[in-house]
Amino acid sequence: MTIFWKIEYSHDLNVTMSPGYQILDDNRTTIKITDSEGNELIGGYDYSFVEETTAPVWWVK
Amino acid sequence: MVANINPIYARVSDVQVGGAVIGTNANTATDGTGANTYEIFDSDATEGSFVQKVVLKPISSIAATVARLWFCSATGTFTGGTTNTAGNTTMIAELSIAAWTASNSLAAPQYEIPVNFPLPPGTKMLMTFGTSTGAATTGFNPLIIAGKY
Repeated sequence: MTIFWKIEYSHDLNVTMSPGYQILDDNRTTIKITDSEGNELIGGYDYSFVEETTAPVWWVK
Repeated sequence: MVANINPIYARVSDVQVGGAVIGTNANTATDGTGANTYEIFDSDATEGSFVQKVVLKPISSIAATVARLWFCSATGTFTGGTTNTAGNTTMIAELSIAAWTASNSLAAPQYEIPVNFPLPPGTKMLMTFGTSTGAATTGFNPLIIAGKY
């Protein structure tokens, strides 16, 4: 079962935090980390776990 | 002539604890930058320290991640994201961490990163995690086995 975590991420030393998702497989290995629209995050950034959640509307198995 | 022809030994043990559960806040940078960077060891301010190893044991249930150990040549007070720059911080080692479910009948895996080199006075070792381990109560409180010169 895929696991979805809400996260807050920032590319600029946590000055502006944006919502996103950390998506994990049932072994709790991260599949990808995205912004709130499902775009995969790239480059160096900091992020924090917010809460476990349900699949976002854009998610396709 | 060399400055020192004698062996050098630590004068006192210096076992330091990271001081907090870290892992919930991740840092994907691999150049030593980022606010979610944690100071886990501060060498002796006057004589420096010899670090033997860093020990990690999972706290609670964690997702798989990668632990990154850094050397930071800056001295003085450490502020994550400000003190550590690409110019003064470089990676010592990376360690793959498997997901773990907390148990009272099975021992959690123990991870050790051998260091075995001296740190100049006042310099630091830092740690980051490439992905979040989960909620704020999950992660690691690193144990650093060292000695002060």
